[in-house]
Amino acid sequence: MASKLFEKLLANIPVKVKSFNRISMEISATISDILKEKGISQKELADLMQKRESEISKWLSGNHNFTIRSLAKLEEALKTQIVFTKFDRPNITVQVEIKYSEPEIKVNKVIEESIASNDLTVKENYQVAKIFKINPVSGYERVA
Amino acid sequence: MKTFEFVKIVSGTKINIYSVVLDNSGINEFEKFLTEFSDNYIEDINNIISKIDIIANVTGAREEFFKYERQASVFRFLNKVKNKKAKGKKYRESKTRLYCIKVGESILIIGGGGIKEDNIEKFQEDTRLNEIVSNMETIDKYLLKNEIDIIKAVDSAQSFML
Repeated sequence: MASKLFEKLLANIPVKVKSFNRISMEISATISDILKEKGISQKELADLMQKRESEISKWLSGNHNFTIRSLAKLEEALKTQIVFTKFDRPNITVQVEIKYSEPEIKVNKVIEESIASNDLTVKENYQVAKIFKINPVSGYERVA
Repeated sequence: MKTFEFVKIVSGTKINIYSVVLDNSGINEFEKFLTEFSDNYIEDINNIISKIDIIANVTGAREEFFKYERQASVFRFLNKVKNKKAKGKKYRESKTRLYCIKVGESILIIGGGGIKEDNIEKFQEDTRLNEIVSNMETIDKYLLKNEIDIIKAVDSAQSFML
């Protein structure tokens, strides 16, 4: 069983504190993942951004209060979108492998429902166009 | 410290977080820390609790969120709080220190903690902090040497003798 004291203290933390930590840690983790994917070291990022390596380390610590300007510079340096809002649309190419006998199956609906029901593994906030293969076993019933 | 056992603190969707009970004291080191400092260091404690919740449920125990202390596998949380005194910087590094053992990104064992006062430069100068780090290092070495399965140890309430 988890700690009741922890749960009690967690419940009393102001939303703004939770939000700050969540946003900062998620942005840090996103940048860190991009660096790993692209094989860029913290030192190389520091050079790209004309900053000290210790500054980059602070950004990745999950404590940093990022400004929009610094995030924009990071996106420019990393050539990758870091922050996503509700106005960003998923950019997914889906390859559907249909194993149903009925020819009139509505492919788009299969895709929409699969995304909604997490049948698809959609990663990295949709920023990369990817090809997914759907192999639903009992998906047809949901399409009707 | 002669004996220790593991207890689960948080069951997260990403990882589970554990603490240790030393010498059958009846209270784990993390709760001991929370109980002692939640009144006078509430801003620090709120940050720590909130971060642990995010680690457990969102990010996992990423190395960037921790800072090494003496031995590679013993970390302390990086934590910043509002700087009420100084005019320049809005935030300063928190005085609270909470030590933990990170086993990869999937297991985090939180130990005890305390306050690193301004008049000391290194935690080694504080008897209590030094003892907490030593305890965590001892547990870490024991884990490595004996290849302990923490999940099984928690489920069976296994106690380890040093």
